[in-house]
Amino acid sequence: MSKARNSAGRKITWMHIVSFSLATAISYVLGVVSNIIAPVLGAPGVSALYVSAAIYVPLGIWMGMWGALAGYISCFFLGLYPSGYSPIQSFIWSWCDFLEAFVPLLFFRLLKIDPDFTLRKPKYAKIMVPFIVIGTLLLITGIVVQVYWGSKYGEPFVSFYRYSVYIGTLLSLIGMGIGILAGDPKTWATYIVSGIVLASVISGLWGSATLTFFNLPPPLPSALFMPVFIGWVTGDMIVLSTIGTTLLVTLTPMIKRTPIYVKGWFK
Amino acid sequence: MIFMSSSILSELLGVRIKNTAYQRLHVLTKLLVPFFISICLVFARSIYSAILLFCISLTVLLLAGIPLRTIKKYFIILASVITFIAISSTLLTSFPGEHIFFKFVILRIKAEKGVVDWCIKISDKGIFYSIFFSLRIITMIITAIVLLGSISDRELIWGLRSIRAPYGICMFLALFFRGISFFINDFYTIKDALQVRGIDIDRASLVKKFRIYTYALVPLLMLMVRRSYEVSLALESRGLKINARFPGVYYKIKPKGIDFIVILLFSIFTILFACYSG
Repeated sequence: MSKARNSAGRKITWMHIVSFSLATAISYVLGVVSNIIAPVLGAPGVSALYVSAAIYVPLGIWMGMWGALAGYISCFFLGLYPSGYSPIQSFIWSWCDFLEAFVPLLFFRLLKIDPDFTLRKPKYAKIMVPFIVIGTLLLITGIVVQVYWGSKYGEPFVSFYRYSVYIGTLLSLIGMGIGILAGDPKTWATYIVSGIVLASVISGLWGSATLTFFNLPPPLPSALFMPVFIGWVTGDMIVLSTIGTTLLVTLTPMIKRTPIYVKGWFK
Repeated sequence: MIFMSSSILSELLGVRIKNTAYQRLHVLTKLLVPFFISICLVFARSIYSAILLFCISLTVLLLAGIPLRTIKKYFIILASVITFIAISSTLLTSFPGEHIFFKFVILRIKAEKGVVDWCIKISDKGIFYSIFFSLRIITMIITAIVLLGSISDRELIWGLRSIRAPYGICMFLALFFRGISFFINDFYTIKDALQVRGIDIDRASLVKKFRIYTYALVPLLMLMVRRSYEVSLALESRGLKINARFPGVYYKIKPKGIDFIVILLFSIFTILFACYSG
């Protein structure tokens, strides 16, 4: 019996390899397009509307690790061209896109959730977007103000931190509540938490930190961490909650019927 | 026999690259040279070491027969990064420096435990810092240009085949490079179809553009699924196994003496640079 076979009798086929290559190519093309349409000036390879993320995050949910790897390799090439990072810098930096697709994949697989993005109340999927984006941004801004100034200088920064964290958390929770009502609660709750919020924040943290603090060498000055991070998270959250959601809702039922759909990690 | 195939940079940007001695080096050498420069970048800590690396990368670029005007294609990136480095050294970071040329307080907040000043400050240290970072980023971009301008997708696949890499990996790389041109063509076809229906992407606002791209992505993904199905069926029908290795190679690329010399020289340079650049 082939080594590639698993206990369920499924194996890695050419379909996985071919769809992985083409998914990488499509993610790369869209990554380049995003960098042309809405670049975060001063941070090559970072886009305020990174459309590519809306491709490989759903691909991660559909194709398992192949989708996450497509994110990584497309970002590696994006780092080389048009961003102009050296091969080593690009190798380290590109894990941000892998993580972005891997986080929702991890949640969906570990919680054993069969993604069902059928919409029962389509309006709710639209209303949730501003709540989640603004709420999470307020939360992040509050934490940043506290870390940089609040802990050192005290008031009025501490008060700003408190209010922004309270309001941000409230708005995010309202957004999540509305999103859960849009369709299957398990699928939507997992997607909102892992696929929109956590994926953007974790990818933003890794991406901005490897551009400004930890790389061989970091291409940008450390003072640019916050502008790059905020631009990154905002762009990714908008793209994932709008385009990513649209693609998942439209294409999930069709993709599930094709052989590119992966139930496990690789097969 | 090896014939020159167009480099990845030529395919992407349409840049005409000369067939120089550097271009005829073994693919591994052409991969290692930018890699060594990248390693050196890690150890560049002074302005002089950054200038040295910049000169070396520029020399390699010229030896590779890549026209200098290729750097112009990166103009927006370079200009924006250098501007932001300058902004970060004057607005976002405060360098004490020995000489302060200009200082202007934009915002002053009286906090519980002191005063927070946000000011524009130009000092000698800030200027050096901006030049150092700018030189490093220019070197980085030149290194990436050298890498993409000297290797081609065909060379990479031949290289993989010569080391007996499995079919699956070679096929992945081949399809990835082919897929880029597939999707660029598909994207333009979808764009044309949208324009025929009265939607003009070029003149649309950013919000509208964003919505249009959402519509364009659905057929693009559908095409990806269909293509994956067709190509994988073709591969299956030929009886190819993913883990199988190539029984023989059509083109043999053997490293020559010059390859060993270039690799040795760059290895020695990297070690010396790492030891003495500080």
